[in-house]
Amino acid sequence: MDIAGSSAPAPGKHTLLGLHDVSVRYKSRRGSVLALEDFNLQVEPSSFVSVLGPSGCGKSTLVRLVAGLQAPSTGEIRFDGVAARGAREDVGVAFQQSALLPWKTSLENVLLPIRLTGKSVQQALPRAQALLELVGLKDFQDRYPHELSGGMQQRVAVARSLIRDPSILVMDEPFAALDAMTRETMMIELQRIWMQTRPSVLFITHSIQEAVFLSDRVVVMSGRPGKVIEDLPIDLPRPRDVGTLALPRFAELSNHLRDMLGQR
Amino acid sequence: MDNSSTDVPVWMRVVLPVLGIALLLGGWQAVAQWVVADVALLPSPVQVAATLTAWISGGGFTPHVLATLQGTLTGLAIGVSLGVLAGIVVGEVRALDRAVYPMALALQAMPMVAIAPLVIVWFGIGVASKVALVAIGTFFVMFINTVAGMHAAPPALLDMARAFGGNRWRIVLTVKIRSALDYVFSGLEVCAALSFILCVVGEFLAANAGLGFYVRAASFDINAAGMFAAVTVLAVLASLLAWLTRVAHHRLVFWKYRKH
Amino acid sequence: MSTVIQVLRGTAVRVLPLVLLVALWWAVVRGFALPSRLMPAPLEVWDRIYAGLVTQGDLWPHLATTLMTTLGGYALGTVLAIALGSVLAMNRVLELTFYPIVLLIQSVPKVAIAPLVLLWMGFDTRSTIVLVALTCFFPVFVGTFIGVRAAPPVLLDLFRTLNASTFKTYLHCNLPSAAGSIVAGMQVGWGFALVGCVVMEFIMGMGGAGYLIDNSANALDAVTAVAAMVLLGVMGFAGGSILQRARARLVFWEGQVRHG
Repeated sequence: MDIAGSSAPAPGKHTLLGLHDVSVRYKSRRGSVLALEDFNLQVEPSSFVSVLGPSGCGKSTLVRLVAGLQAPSTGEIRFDGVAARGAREDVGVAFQQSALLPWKTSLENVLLPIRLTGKSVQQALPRAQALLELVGLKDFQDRYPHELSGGMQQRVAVARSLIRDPSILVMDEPFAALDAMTRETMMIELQRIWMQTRPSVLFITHSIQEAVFLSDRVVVMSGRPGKVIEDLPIDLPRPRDVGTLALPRFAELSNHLRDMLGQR
Repeated sequence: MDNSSTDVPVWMRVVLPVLGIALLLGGWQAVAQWVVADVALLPSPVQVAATLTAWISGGGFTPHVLATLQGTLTGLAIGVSLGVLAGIVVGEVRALDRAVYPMALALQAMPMVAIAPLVIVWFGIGVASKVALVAIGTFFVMFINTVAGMHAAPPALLDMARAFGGNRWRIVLTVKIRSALDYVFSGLEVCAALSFILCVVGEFLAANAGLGFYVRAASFDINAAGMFAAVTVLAVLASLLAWLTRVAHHRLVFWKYRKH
Repeated sequence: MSTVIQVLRGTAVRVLPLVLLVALWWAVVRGFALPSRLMPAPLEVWDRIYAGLVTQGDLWPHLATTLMTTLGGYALGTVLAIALGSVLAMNRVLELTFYPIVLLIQSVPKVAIAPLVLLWMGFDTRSTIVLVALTCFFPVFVGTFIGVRAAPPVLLDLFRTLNASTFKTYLHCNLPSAAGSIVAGMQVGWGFALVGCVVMEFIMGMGGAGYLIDNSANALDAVTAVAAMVLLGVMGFAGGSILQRARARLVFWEGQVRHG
């Protein structure tokens, strides 16, 4: 059965985020390095897209591009068809390290984006509390990051990335620093949280299990310089839970991806 | 891989510091020449340079420089050697370590310069009190640093040394001293600055010669140019000593400072 | 019951070195039969302190002068150091231009310019305040510079994704994460500040603990001199302790055990 998907979304669908022939070149001491080459990617609204690739394939560069921390050397990034410039309010970011301010409580951390953009913290308070409850940390509002486990810190980071109700959320291997058991729990939790808030998500990972479980589509990247070598739709039913992991289709999709990554 | 967008082009790393120094000298010259216009109060860089050259070629410079160097270096030699020695002994003998080391730490809170007048009462006016002051101050710093350094010997290394049997005392001591080197040299860098400070203070209070004495005397004559000249020489000497100790530190404790 | 014992043990550990120190002091004075004008016995000094602070109170004005001028100069120096350190740490161009100037000025032993400051600012507390500010500037500057620079890159990235201005990033990210380093610099700075104050009081001769030490030593009244030294030590210690506590509270998240 042919399970390889087409490399572009069906025509007629509105594109929220588009990367068009994007290349990124770095100057380093050893000369210049091409991190991404002619990279193309489209993300629709409310769709969960995972990006899988080997180490050093430019996944982090991709995150920095979409988060507005870096400009492409060539090519264009467009949001809603308009060329993007720098960091945007409708993009939420979750880093690999939770990047919480250690001197602020969970609640204050979630409210940080509001505080920095000068909007009313009072007004955003109920939303912040609701988000903390959504990620399962209702009773930990006044705790400081050092009082929380790694998984809990990442949950706060996810809540923070959602505070401004972004249309797209970029997540850079957010569970990489966690132990295996916590990773699996967080993966299932993230699915639940996403079903309730439904931003588009660009999820960078090197875990095939996470990619298949969470996404509507999985984009596979080649090694450096990074390019898209496959765009695989995941047709597993939603909502997904622990039972989904046992479906034969899950194994099929995972194996296909494993082949693509040359891991079998 | 973050392409550091915050770093500046190479040419800036050379031009900007030069620009900074130029601004300093230029600003100083301007203020001295047009704002203060009184060489007795604020000499311009040019005037200081002239005073300095006259001083050097006239020979008036030498006795003071020698006096200060003598006081500083002699005191340093005595204080450092005794301090390190005492530190090794105390660091090695458990009973002494527990009794004496905390005492020394407790004394640290008092500024060492405060003992200067008393030291002068003990040793009289002249070289001896200068040397004593520097020696006491540097002894104290080196003692504390040496003991701390010996404490810092990694236990794993010590266990290994003991396991070799034989002359335990000597081997363990060698391990401890090696580990203490970093602390000892850090202490030495502190002493490089401290020794000049103590010597100058000693010269303020009771000396017949020396750069500190000269600065004090010049202030009575309202001779700011002379003061600036003496201070410049002091700065050069202090920097030289600091640089030498720093180089020695990085050379001898090379394992910490080698760049890979 | 065990907490009481713990507290007692904690206090004992801290007090014991001082007790031993006093005992050693007493033994040396007794054993070498040192005359009071050279080195007084602990009890004499205690009596003098008691008289000076409680009964007659003649030491208070001097203590107050030293404390006030040191605090004033310390506040001035700290504010300037934090300001300059922050600016240079946040802006690479300014850093490259002005850091060399800071290093250059730092190479001059600050005590050496005390007579110069006196010449410029006259025989009053302003001179002391200025010298104290100059003396304590550098450690606080370095602490600030290093701390502000050391803000975790991922946090800086976070602030960039939120489009925060440089100032807001400084205020909400760099500065809080630098707090520990700044206070550490301030701890070193407090010691230096006392040095600056004492030296200026030596040469100004108008009051304060430094004046007291110099004056009494010259009058062969070593008891008062040592009494003043002890009080200076107490000031040094008190400042250091307060700053240590402040540091622990400011950097409360470090060295903590995680729950959950």
